Amino acid sequence: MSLFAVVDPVMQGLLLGGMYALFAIGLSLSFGIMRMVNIAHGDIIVLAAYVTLVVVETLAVNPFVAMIVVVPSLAAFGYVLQRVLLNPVLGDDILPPLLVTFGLSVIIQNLLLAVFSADPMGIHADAVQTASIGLGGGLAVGVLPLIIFASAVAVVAGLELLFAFTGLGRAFRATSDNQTVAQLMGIDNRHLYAVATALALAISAIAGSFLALRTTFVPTLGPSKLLVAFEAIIVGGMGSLWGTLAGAMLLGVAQSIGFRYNSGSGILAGHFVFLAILLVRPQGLFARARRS
Amino acid sequence: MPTILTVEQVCKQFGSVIVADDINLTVAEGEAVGIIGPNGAGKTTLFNMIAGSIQPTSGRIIFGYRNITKLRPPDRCRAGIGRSHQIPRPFSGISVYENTLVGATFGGGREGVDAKRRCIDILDRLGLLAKANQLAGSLGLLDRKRLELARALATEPRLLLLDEIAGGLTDEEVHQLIRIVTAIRATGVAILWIEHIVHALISVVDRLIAMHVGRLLAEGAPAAVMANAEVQEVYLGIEEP
Repeated sequence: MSLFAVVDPVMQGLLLGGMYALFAIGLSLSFGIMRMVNIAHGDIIVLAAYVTLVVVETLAVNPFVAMIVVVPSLAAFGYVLQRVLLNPVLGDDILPPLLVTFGLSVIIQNLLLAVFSADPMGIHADAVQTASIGLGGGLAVGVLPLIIFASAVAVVAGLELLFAFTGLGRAFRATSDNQTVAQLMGIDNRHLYAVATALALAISAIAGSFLALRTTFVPTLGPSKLLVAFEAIIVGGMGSLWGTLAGAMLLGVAQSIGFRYNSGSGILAGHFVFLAILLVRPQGLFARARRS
Repeated sequence: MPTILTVEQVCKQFGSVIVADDINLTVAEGEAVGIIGPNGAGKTTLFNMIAGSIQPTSGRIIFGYRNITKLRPPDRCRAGIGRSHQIPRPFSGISVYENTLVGATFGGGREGVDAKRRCIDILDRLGLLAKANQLAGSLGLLDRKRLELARALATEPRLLLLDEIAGGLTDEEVHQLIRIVTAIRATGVAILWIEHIVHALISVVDRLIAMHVGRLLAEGAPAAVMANAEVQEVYLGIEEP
């Protein structure tokens, strides 16, 4: 076996992990801060892909420029969504928010189907989609996967800084720890949750824009993105964003190697790695110590 | 002294159980008032209603000149009501210093260096400065109780609700706490203090309220309340001769 056959899929897989990490981070934030599982998370990413498409076509701008519009729009949508729809159902019972976001998932999918039809769509505008950098020995990395991976690292680093050094970050950690007491310390949880969802959707918007650049997409793609996000979070370990990135990279590598051997079994290889991690280390690779 | 807190005809029912039955009380600005009563007297429920974590079934709560009965807990905190819990509830995953910083920024409305100075000052006063960078979850009981107090102080309350902060401590630790509470009082903060350790309470408060099964039993100078026959019967278990 040549060196190329080993190095290439691993490298492509690691970069694919950047994309998967962007899928997962928003979901991880919602769960970490609010203990809320957003079933519509994947559909929101797909929604962001369509919004990017619309912005690119109507304003005739570069997809990266379009993100200047798409990311704040989705953040604003997230803030309102949390205040109007999700805050009222958040409580000790975790079922109501699950049901509401499941409903939201169905609504988004059908709305997208009604507006854009079930035909695959994509953005075919930019040279960046096909550009690559040769590394010698036949190896090459795509410029777009590199940009996506760098964005994922930047998002995780940015969030870690936010959590560690800002008042907002402390409020997130305090609320995640004990939201009843956080309220007694003057933290308005309704506003804070809305900010958290705005942040989660802003990151999902970045993920959606990159998704639109990377592949074609259909309205029903959301649940598969949600699944990848769940797997990355669980493999990486709850509560650790760097862990989520690592988990996403591991899944990416597994899928990439799987694809190399049999083009139909790439996704399956990812699921096998996920199952193996669940069996061997169910708390995930980088799980933080449980709260007392 | 003007009144800072007025609890007016407050009742609370959980199903058919009455836990607060027509409670009326006032606290003046800068005054320290103690609350005693056996378990189940409704003391903590009263605190929860004042801090806003539960709503009274009927009645009004007035803070300053403002009716706060319908206000949510964060708004009450910002209005100037700070509370500490009987069982300390620190944010265990963040540091001692950050615990107070959350209170100072969101409850006290301070920012940047100003908030940090305030927190360092409070931690120093409460003898927690050396442990400022420890995770709050790693503290022992006395330090947890101190942190509970430090965090409430960081929100810059005009009224401080203390729920059994001396329980479970040694005599020496109780004396330390009394000194701390006395010092807080001297800064002009009004205090409402629930405590089973009566000698600790009496050494600080101006006035004592005795509660029993959701009602006020007696109210007045500490010595008079403790000498009250009904109080002695329900609270101290001494039968009337």
